[in-house]
Amino acid sequence: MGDLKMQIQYDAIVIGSGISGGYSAMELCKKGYKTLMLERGRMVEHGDYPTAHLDTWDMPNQGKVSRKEVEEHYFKQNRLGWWVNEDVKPFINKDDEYPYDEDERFDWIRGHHVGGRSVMWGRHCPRWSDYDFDANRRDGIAVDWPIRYKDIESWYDYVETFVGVAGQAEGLKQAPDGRFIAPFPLNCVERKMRAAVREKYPNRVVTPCRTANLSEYNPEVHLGTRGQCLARNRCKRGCPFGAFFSTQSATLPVARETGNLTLKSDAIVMEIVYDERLKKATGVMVKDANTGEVTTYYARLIFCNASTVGTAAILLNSRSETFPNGLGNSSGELGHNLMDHHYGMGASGILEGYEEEYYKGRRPKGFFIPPFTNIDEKTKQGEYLRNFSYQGGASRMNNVPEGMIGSALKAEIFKPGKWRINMECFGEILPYHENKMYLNFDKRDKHGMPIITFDAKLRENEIKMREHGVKCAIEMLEAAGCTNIRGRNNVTAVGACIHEMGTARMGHDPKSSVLNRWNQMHDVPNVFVTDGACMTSAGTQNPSLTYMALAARAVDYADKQIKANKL
Amino acid sequence: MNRRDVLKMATAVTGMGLIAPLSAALLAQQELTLANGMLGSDKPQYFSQEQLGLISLVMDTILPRTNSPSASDVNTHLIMDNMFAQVFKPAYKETFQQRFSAFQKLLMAQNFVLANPAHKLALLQQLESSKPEQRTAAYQAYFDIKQQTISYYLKTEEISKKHLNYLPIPGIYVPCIKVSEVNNIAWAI
Repeated sequence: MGDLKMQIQYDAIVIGSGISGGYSAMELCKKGYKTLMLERGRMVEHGDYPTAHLDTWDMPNQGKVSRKEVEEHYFKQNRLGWWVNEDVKPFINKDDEYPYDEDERFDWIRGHHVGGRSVMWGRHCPRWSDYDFDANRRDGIAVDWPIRYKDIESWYDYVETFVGVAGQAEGLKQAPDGRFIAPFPLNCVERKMRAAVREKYPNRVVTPCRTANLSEYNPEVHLGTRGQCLARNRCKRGCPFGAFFSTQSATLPVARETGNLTLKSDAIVMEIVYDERLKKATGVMVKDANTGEVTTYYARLIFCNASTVGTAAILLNSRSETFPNGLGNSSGELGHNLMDHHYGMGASGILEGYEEEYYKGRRPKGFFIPPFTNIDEKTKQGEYLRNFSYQGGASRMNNVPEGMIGSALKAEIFKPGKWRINMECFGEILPYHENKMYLNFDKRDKHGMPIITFDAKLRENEIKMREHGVKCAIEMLEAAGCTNIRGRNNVTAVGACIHEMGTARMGHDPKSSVLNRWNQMHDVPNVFVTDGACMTSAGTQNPSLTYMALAARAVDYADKQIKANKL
Repeated sequence: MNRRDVLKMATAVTGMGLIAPLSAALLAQQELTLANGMLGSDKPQYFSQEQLGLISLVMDTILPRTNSPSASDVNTHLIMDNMFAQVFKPAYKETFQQRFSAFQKLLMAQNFVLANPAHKLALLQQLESSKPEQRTAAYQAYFDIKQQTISYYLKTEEISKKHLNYLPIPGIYVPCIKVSEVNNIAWAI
């Protein structure tokens, strides 16, 4: 019996092993907490990246997934048209195994395995700024963030140092500089673009992406199984060199090194167990994905890091007499305010000349253009609230001169082609209460879990913003001297940017938010949510860095509370 | 592909049998070209044998064998056939088939299969040079084949490793170099 108790009793439980779960677990372990990390998907150890070294010719169908396979397994995951390919397929959920429903189309793109989306994430790591933390209050939208930049700044420093974020300081208040390692520099054409854009539009800055790839490897701070980036740009397949930050390469090995971590994969969290008498959560009920066996694990602290949607689903399914509509849901906000970034807009153009210029190696990310509209009175837009940023790059295309075939063409196609600049716009989605996910308790998956259903869409503010995003992209390409400029505005469903956020938001008031300023549930003090569910607004930044900073901060707070016997 | 297959295919493609008066040299040339296009026992998955044979001839006119392999030498026609069989959406396939039908008729009318390489080149060059307002369904089919030919060709192992700069693990990223440093040859990946 004693052994059994040892196996089910922990100091802390972390639900989810993705980028924020990994960070929560590592911080808890470092502080001495015996921590159980639960992952509903399969085990993936560092190095289990089956496509990492494959070339196009090593994969069937030019790296594309067959129609038959798409129709059988990826009918929703593949709707984006660019995501489900052979190289990343090992880390994409099969829709027939992980169903969800939609009142409105929602592209819920995810992979259930140890490491989650940290294995194939975008790695761009900009900080939030006070522009973002003050946005809801300023605009009178939704609820105010309960924190400001000063509350998280030192945690950004802390996390960035460990993660290793390559970037270039620019001194922009809307995109605060971080503790950067050396950037992956702009290439010749991008440098020209930066200068030309800045000359015509002084507040638009073309800078290298702030990316979690080790341009400089320092084994003293980049702990785990990390290594120098070798410029392969095959990051999304998993990096066997540990050159980008993931659970596998960084937080998991460091957590294991403490001796305090227990990791269980194939462990589906059904619900968090709430004790009505103690007014606390006491543990989590887990179903083994393979055997169906149900076990309850107990802990003093519970961190929810199952992803924005996964966390909300677990909480909504954790129903009790006190919380008939889901754990910690006295506000009724759980599952609501679902956000993402809207996407599918931007522009591309051809830059004639620069035939002598080229590059060597495949850098992991291109350029970043931080927001420049609605950041102050001078840049205020009458048509829409909030703003957008861009990510893009300049590269040389295949060389296929028009009008040429035969041996003449043959002599040309081995040469580098013209320069093309492409930029994609990332727009902010406002936190609408009406945009939500909920559970359909009348329909269950094969594990008996209620089906997650989405009801979220872009609204007028986003649609108006998109027009301006495309227009500004075209303006910048014109400034750079491009020809054949093509703008695009293909409205995406929510979820398409794979930055879902907001289903258990932070706020000052328990009546209108789920979490307090420490990512702690207003209603259940020993439950913390430090994944994307906690976000009160969406910004335009890729959000993972902020999740990690909030996770480290929340663990530190919880530890201090416990040591002060307040938790 | 054996000689009988060549005759059968030429019959289907041209709409006429290859009869005795045709010169042995011409037949041999066709046989060689077609045989190079259709490898051994490989069977088309999507296109008919005749259609794929024609596509192979078109591809080899676009990218003939020089000091580097021709398109069909590195199986671009089989790659295209596989992509149609396994990957492309029905709507695109239907559109392509309609266009290809027009292209096929045009080529048949001009005896493309039996034409010598220079004549083949001239026939396709005409299409290649057509002005935007003259671009017919046949042109669209030709253009699709050309795009796919080049794309698949450059992504084959043979071409990537022997005729482009193949650097699977660059080790370091250098943002600006001169093309002369890599002999004005593009990176393979």
